[in-house]
Amino acid sequence: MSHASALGPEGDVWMAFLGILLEGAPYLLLGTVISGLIDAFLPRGLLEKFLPRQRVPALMIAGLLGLVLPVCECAVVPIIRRLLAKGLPLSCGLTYMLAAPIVNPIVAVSTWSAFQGQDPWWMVGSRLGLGYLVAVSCGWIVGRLPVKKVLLENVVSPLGFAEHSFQRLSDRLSHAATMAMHDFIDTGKYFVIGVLIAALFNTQVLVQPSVQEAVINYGAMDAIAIPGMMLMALLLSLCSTTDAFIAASTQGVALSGKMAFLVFGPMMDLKLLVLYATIFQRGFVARLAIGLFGLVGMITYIWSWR
Amino acid sequence: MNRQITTTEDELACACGARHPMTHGGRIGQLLAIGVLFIWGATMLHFHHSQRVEHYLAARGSFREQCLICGVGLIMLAVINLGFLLGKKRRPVAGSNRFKLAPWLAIFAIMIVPFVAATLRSPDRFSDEFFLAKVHAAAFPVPLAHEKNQRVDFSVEELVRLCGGLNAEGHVAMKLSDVYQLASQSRAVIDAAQSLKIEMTGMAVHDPQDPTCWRLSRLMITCCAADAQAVSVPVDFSGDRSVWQQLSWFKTIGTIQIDSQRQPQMATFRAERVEPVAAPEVWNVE
Repeated sequence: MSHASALGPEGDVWMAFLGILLEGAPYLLLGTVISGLIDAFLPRGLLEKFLPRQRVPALMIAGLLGLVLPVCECAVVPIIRRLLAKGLPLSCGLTYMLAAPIVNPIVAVSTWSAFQGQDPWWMVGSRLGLGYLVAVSCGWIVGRLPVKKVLLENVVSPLGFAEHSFQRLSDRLSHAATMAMHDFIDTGKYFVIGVLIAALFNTQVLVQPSVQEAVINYGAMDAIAIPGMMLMALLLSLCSTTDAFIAASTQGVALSGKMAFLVFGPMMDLKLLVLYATIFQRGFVARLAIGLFGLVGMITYIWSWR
Repeated sequence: MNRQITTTEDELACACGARHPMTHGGRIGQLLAIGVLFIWGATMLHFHHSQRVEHYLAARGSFREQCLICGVGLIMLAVINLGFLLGKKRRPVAGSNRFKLAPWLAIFAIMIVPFVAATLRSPDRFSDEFFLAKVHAAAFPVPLAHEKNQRVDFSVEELVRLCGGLNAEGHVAMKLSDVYQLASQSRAVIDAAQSLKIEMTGMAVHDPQDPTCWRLSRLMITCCAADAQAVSVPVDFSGDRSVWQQLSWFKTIGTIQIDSQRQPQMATFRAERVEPVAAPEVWNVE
């Protein structure tokens, strides 16, 4: 008997855990380094000056910021935490957070590559368009809520982090390095918890014959495929830059289900549930998850009538 | 100047939740944070340097290079922070100025223990039970995507070249995943593949729908180990069937047949020879 068989399910969990962790850690580091640089170099209030004063145009621009700063969902969390501390309005921050992992050039190219032979331009346009629509809609709704009921206390009152008066570049760089290190550890611990939960579900639940049979038997039905694939995206916790390859190769599932997977996954999954709790209050994270599930489900269902 | 630095120190100390510049306790916290970065960076570099990363990340894209860059980046970040911490000026830095053991124990338990335990205990391949569950899920006949803009001028020589040329025995070694996907290719590619003698390696499993038939299977990853899916090809072998053993590795030599009458169109391997072989070093294919 091989070592792998001897370890059995435990070895499988470690395999999936390391797979997601090794894939996600570089993006987490990238996000925390950008976050450190934002804290050291971006003056407080600058973002507010650049964004339009009216909410809707501001949200529409925030939803497109991923084209300028393309990051996946692991990297966006530390960045958004810092941007909120720097005065970015909550509604714009949330819109950027939800849109950036989808509305960015890397995701567009990977989706196009993955759906070769399955109408790639339509899939890319639909994914980016629906993702943008959902993100802006969520930003508009959340913008009507009191900030203190949404954000954690240390994000609402960033303890003086937001503004420093550095004299020298080396001071700024050392501050950026320190903040990057702290953000990596602050976000990293939640990232590890999320990855561990995703690995457990991936290797112990999704391989159960009953789950597999359900996909085979009901996967072609829109009403089942859409929530089923969103649930799958939640459990698998894949990176938005590569999840299109999984969706494209998932056999026997309606296209609407694949689209729901591609739009919902980068906005909400198990590791993100834990990561979002570093910015938002837990009750809000739960409401956001349920709201996104409903909104993405409804929009992709309408999209399937095309 | 001094006043300016003092102001910054106060701000940072305030940010740390403390009223004074960094203390001895604060430096311990900084050192532990640096230690976490070092351990993560070193582990990432270990996976890349030992090539264990091949078992976890796909070769396509730049996932493996990103693992290396992340390892180097984490070590650099740790070194930079260590330099600032031990530097002459000893600037205060954000973080708790009072060292508290409990939060650091939690950080250690969450960030270090699972990563190190996984690194030490992971067998670098999935268990047979997991493999079998994936095969059972994938063995149902489902339609493959037919690629548009298919090549109509594909030559046998081009296919041989793409597969790495003829091997010592004069066969073309094709990845099992490529054989599996062949049905979705153009007629020209299928014709080229059908005219060649092919060598294919995989793990033998009973066909879930017909226990008298055997399939060769492999796990295929797209990005990382967590997305592993099984691909399997039915093998038609008229020789001694007692050679087959469930979950053992075999090399088969023969030809590929695409039954265009059957819907969905799938590849079948007509084996002339079946030989048991050792399991390959890397479990996955792409």
